[in-house]
Amino acid sequence: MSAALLELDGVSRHFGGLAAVREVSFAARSGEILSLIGPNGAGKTTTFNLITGFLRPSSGRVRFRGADITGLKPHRVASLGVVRTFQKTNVFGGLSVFDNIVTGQYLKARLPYWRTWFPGRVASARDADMRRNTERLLDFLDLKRRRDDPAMSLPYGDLRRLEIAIALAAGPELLLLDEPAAGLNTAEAKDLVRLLRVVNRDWGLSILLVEHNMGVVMEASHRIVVLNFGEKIAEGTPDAIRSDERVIAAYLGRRQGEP
Amino acid sequence: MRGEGRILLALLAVAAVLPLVIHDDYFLHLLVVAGFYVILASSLNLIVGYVGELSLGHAAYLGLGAYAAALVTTRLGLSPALSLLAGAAAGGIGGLVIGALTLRLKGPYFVIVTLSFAEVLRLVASNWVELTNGPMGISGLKPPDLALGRGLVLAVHSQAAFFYLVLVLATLALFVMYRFVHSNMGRAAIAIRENRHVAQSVGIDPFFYALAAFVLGALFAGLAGAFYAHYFTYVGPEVFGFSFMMSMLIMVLVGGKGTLIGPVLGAVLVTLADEYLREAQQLRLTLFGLLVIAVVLFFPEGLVGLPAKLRRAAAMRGEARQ
Repeated sequence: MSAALLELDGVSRHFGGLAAVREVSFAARSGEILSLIGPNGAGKTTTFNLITGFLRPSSGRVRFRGADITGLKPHRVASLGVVRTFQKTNVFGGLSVFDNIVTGQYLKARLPYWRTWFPGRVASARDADMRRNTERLLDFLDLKRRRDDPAMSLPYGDLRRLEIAIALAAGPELLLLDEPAAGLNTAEAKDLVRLLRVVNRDWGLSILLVEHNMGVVMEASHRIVVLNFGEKIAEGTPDAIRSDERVIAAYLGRRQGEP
Repeated sequence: MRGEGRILLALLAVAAVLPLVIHDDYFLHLLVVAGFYVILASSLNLIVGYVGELSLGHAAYLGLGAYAAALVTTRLGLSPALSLLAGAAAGGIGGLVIGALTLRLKGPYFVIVTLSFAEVLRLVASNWVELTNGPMGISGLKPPDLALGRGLVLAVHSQAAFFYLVLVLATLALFVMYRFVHSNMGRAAIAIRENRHVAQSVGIDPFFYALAAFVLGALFAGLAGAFYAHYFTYVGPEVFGFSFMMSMLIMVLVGGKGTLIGPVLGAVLVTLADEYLREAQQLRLTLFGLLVIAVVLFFPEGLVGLPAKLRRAAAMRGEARQ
């Protein structure tokens, strides 16, 4: 937990006259779980979009492992090892759970284009690898029973785990999760925290988390960055954030400076 | 091999023996036309069924292929084997140019602009009289005899010979498409159809794979066009027309888009139905219109999806009874 993996340097994004994100700077270190929290409309999802290339910053730079990735297209950002999920559950609805996870491994399955028509042994070996990896992920995310079901027929909890499975299948170094606990019950949220810890500690993935469920945030995060009205208002450990005046004010709506 | 491949091979085996049992030239002619439509509808399906974009300009590549074949044989005097290649190349290049310009557009904009390209090409074909002979078209194409070596020529004159030629071309097309849709490239194209955002977030470039499928589709539409030119020995501006577009779209929808078998079944059934509905004269197009509406409303997965649909319905009835 040392070197900066992802750095945001004075990143802003305006929509017309509205500054959705204003001069935001923070760094996610290699090996940590960093949470991004704030009231609705604070600019958390916009920040995700700015990091992953779904939006271009109006100003400021985004760096990943020291390299400037500002304004790269989403698929380029993903190919560098930065993979995200979405707030509204997003999977390949018409495909089976198995095929969803296979498709998630696109980057690992890439071969020279001519291999499409002359696959040979390389492609079948790659296919076998991919199937093994898919089975492993099905097992890990407890989706084995759902293996051949179409994704759109899954109950909500399974759907959210499938979403994470697809992101993990892409082999990220930094995983960005946008409200993974939304709509989960207490037991499911606990499972999610366990899952994040395993992925972080045992698989060595760094995680950037946007989440409203404070139980999940406080338990899972090493550090927390707080946004309010598009600006960073605090950064620190869960304990420090819990007692931060400005954060409490932002969440409870007190004016700053009021006792 | 997957189930889809096995069924296609079985269909190929059945098709290969058909000319041995059918000696009626008129029926063989229908089968040749059906084969032509198999290639055409399958090529459209790559874009409509796998990438999930509705291209209404697919007749453009059919027309480019047909005119390319007509021009290289009548003007340059090249052999028909080369003109089939020229047709495919013309379609593919047309697809590359038009796809690169239009695939950045979404939804209705994409539909309209692709349609306009086909219309522009139709106008060019009608008006550039020095090159295309205008509305008169280019006639007198020779049959596509294939020179296999010195003095050894595979003559394609009879209906049966044309049938085998179109069967070889359709098999080639479907083999190339089969390998494509069951590869990582095909999975990427399907991922774009299923969810563009998730596709991008796992590293898939939507524009590149949409274009790849588009060019592949255009290439085989061009090949179908070249075959058409040689079979009918005539090419006119109507090859760019909307009626071809309608036919192939109906075939893809009726058979089942997003599967390889669907457009094959759709092409054969609609070609035969079209012929036997001639009795109904003016009502023909109305009947087809109603058919499309019925398919879209009640069988969005087409004929191919029917067994699964019936099974689901039966399972639901079974549950209801318990």
